[in-house]
Amino acid sequence: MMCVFCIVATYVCQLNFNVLFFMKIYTPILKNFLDAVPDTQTLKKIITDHAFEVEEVTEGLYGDVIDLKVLPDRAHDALSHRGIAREIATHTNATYSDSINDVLVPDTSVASVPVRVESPLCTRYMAVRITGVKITESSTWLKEAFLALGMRSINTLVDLTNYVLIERGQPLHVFDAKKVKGTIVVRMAHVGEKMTTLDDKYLTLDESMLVIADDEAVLALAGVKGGKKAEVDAHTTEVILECASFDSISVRKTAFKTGIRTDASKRFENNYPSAWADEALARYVTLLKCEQLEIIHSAVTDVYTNPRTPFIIDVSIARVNSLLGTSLTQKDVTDILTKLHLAFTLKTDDVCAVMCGDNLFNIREEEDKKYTAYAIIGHIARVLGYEKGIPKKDYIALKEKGLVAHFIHESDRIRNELVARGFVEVRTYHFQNEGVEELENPIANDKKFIRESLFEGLNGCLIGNLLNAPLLGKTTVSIFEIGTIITRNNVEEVHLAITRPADKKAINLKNVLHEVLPNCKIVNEYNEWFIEVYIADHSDLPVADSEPVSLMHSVENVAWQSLSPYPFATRDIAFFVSDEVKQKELRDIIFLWAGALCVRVDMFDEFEKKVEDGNLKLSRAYRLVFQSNEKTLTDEEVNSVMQNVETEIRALGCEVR
Amino acid sequence: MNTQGHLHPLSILINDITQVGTSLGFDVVDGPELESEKYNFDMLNIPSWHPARDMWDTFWVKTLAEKGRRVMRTHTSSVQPRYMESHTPPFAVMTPGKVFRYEATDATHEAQFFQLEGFMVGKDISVATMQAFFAQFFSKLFKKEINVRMRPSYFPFVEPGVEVDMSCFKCAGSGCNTCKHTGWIEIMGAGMIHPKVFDACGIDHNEWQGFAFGMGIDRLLMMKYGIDDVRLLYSGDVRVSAQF
Repeated sequence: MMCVFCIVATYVCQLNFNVLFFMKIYTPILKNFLDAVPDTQTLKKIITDHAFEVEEVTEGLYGDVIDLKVLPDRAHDALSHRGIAREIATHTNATYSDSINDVLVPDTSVASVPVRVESPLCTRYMAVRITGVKITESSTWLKEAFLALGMRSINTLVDLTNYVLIERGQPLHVFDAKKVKGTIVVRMAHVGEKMTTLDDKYLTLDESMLVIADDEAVLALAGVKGGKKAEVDAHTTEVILECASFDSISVRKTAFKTGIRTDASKRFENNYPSAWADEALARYVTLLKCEQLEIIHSAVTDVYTNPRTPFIIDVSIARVNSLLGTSLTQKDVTDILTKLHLAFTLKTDDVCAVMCGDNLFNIREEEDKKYTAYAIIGHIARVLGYEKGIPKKDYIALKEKGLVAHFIHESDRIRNELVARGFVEVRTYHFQNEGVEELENPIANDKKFIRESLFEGLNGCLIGNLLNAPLLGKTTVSIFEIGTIITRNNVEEVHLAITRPADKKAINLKNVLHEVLPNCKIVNEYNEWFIEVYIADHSDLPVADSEPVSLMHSVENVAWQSLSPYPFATRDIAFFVSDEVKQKELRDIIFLWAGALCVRVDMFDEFEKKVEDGNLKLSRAYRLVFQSNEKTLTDEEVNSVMQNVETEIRALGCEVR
Repeated sequence: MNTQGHLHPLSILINDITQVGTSLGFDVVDGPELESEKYNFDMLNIPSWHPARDMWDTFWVKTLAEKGRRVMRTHTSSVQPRYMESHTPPFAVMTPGKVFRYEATDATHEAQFFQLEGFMVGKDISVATMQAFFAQFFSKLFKKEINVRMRPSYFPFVEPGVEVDMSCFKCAGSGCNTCKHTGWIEIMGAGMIHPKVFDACGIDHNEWQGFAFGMGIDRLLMMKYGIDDVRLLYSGDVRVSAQF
């Protein structure tokens, strides 16, 4: 628990990797870097428009908390109050300064920390021995900040490591110096080497994992989690402060393998600049000295093997304008570069040579440097602001009308044909209980395979749908699905499956297919009630060569009705229609009479009958469907509605049969 | 009784998108759903070691030795490199297609859903063109005047990247439940195609430039009609289609 490697903010869950980029900002801390901090609502707008997504703002007694989501390409330099303060300065008149010029005065009586770095995966290792420390409760200012940020205060030594992390982004770690034997060695773990983490997880390590060790054993899993061996405890009087940088890929792999993701590991994964370690170390020592005057410390050990150096990228102003659609002048562009705190020189009227360092640019691979001009243009765009900075234009299409892929044309044509013949389209799930292609990580045991046929899905929903036929105003339901499947030969195809209930009056599927898709390839056939056919390849090579087909529908004004989980009831009513109501929309009238419980009225029969006096009488039969969203309806409830309907029909002069 | 059948609402919306897309000069295609890691991730500037891969919860498919690692595509963006490596610009293409995410399902999350990918490449296609296109596209799709606004965002395959909001198609900006009373709806991610993606597809990024966008179709459908549970769309229940 005594470690910055533990989860800092409680809302950072180890398993949900999407939270990798969430960050809470406590506005008073911004004052460490800015001469003027705008009010929180202004901050919210500025950050949203020009930098990052703001999730939430919480007002507090001493300061506000801004919950934001740093973009992944800025997680190296902006997952800290320092980074956000720089952003705010770019987009406002506030001036940014890192006024912390902490000069450390080492005491020669304190032995410096012997460090040996054996792996290039540790890009920098700084350590300092601090003696005379005490385990004390943190000061009020620190506790207030932690309370606002949802962080737990432990003691001054540990709290300050966490504070420097959120202020500057650099993870720090304190070891109890008395428990560290000999030299601190940064090396790969031995196969099968054991370690117990601060939160009592027992780990067996392998040779891909970087560790911090002393002469005896592992002290910490580098960049991920501290160990029990040199844990700070109530008796600690001397600590070794570690301030280091580790390879982002290595930390990421170790975090994945061990299932431990911490605020420290997420900084290292995102390539926190090793160049900024010395400032963080000095910051910690200075803050601790303010809290505990009597501490003294050794000279700083700094093993810094491979500093990242800034590089220069040419940006063409013509290119900026071409990509953004703007007409910025050279001065416009250089003003923006200045706001972004970027150093540059003008090479020609059109070309700025921009110095790219750790701020704003997170270059992980040498070959990516050549794309940095686009990143600079991106920064220019967001300083301009997309709402105000990008001119409004008219859209000009590349051609008058586009084409569609063959399978899209065919699928939509078939949809029209089948719907005109009374079929209802459904869609079912792609993952099934049986198939050829299997998932490594299925979401459920019965959803392990990619479907090779539409049968399982469609058959699974046929019975339920048949029962629901009256709700659709139908006596029976024929359904179809058009979807992709993977064949046993690993080919992706678009298939059509049509199915209908096994009753004699039902539509003949073969006849339908013959009309809609003559000479088609039947891939599956179950008796007379299910046929699956091949429509087209779902090709590896995307080609548009067919005219689009417009689907026949008129659905602009659908008012969606939630599906009721309760059963429905039907009632039929038949009557001879009186002369005066012959022309009326009887269906709508009955629907009104039947009230809220009636979800559907359909006429299902109509005939004329010659009566005794020789006149013709018109008979009509209607089916009413009742259903509630709240309960199962009783016979009494439905019957009472039907009585009202009958009474009303009689009142119209009709003769109920 | 009723003799007319019913279309699935997703088919209707995808067809609407196709009609609008082709009328704006876009071709409409699709690529495979069982996709190689190469097209789904690598060619889109998402190398395996990159933390950005965490943005997608991926279904991995047991590997056939000769085919390399395969996934159920996590986005229709995979069609972009497939199309770009086999065609010469200028072009404008849309891909409405099924995608998959490894996640627990509930009323607003599904392991399978539809996404619309689109991209337009030419000599002078700019951020301003992109903005103009979005306004046209949504206005035609909703048959009313729709405004769009953009905010900075990040996707590995674009630079710069933006988040696109559209003015609420229900209340026209005055505030309603659909737009959570903000007047705006977050609708898509977009940006200028990353030069590294062009390079991977053999297209000279000094000569050609363009934008790409991605949008969830199910979510748009649910907002348009007020459908309350995404799982209903794949339930095979005719009571869903019957309302359309």
